[in-house]
Amino acid sequence: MTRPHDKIGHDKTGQFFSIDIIIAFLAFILIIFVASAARDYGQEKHTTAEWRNDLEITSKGSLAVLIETPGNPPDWETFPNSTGIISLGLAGGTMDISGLTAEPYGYLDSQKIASLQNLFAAEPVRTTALLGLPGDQFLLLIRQWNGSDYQLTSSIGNEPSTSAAFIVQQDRYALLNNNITQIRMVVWKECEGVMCR
Amino acid sequence: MKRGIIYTLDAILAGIVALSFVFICMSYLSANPSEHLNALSLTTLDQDTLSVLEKDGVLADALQGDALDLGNFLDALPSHICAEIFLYDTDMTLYRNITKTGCLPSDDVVITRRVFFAGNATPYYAKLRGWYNE
Repeated sequence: MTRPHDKIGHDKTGQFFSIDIIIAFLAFILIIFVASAARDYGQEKHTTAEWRNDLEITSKGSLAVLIETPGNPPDWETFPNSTGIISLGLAGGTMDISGLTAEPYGYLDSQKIASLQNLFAAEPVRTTALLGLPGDQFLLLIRQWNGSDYQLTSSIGNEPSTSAAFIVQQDRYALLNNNITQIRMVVWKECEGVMCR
Repeated sequence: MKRGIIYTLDAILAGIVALSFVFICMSYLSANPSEHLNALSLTTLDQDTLSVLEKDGVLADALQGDALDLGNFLDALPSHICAEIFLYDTDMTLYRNITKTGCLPSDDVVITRRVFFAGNATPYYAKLRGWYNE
């Protein structure tokens, strides 16, 4: 009688080193490698996306406060320096409608713009922090509409450097001296560490 | 002689399933998570646009015949932004429809509205459709 294992030659001592298990092992390694690469890729992508989103949300909020509020205190433009200023805002002026004074929403005060320019020239770091952008850089461009094109009237801040890691731009519109005015805020982060990749 | 099972239909199907899984994961990872911020920015910009056009009297002028200023303003919007303005009376009768030059239509639009007054303090209604230029 021949038993089944007798058909197997003595030169085949087991299946551990068979071609099947080698291929399976290679497939396993491949899956581990792909999963690891996907995790690294996803992690880096989400980190950079979060940085960018954070900068967008921050710049959007900063510009909203600047355009929609007169600042705190509202007469901050009369202060000789940043001492006592809690937040910066450019909204101002009055609008008379049939004898009623309207809210200054949507109107900018040219004196506040000039004061912001002076404040940034004297205390750039403090001004950037008061705008809600500590650690970031910004450029504020104020351009008035002349019926066919925009003309630059004020530029506050610094141009983005070539080493900037993220640059975001926000545009808003308001009235300055009863002219339609575009307010463009460019905010960026300097390249640091993993951001530079 | 067929010695192995690596090339069987089962293995091929398993490979397809595994690759599909990897591609699905990669497509989720590649998705742009800041799209909602873009829509929010566009909404804010459109609200500002209607606000300044109303306060500067451009909407009223466009209603009463001279729409040149409104057309020029729309054409000067940032190049990546498209806009189309509709002016109605309170019965929703369309008076004006002005689109930024060079914009292709899109279904992915943000709509903002504003009431304004023209003529003898008559209320009118402005609707702005804004979208990103592809």
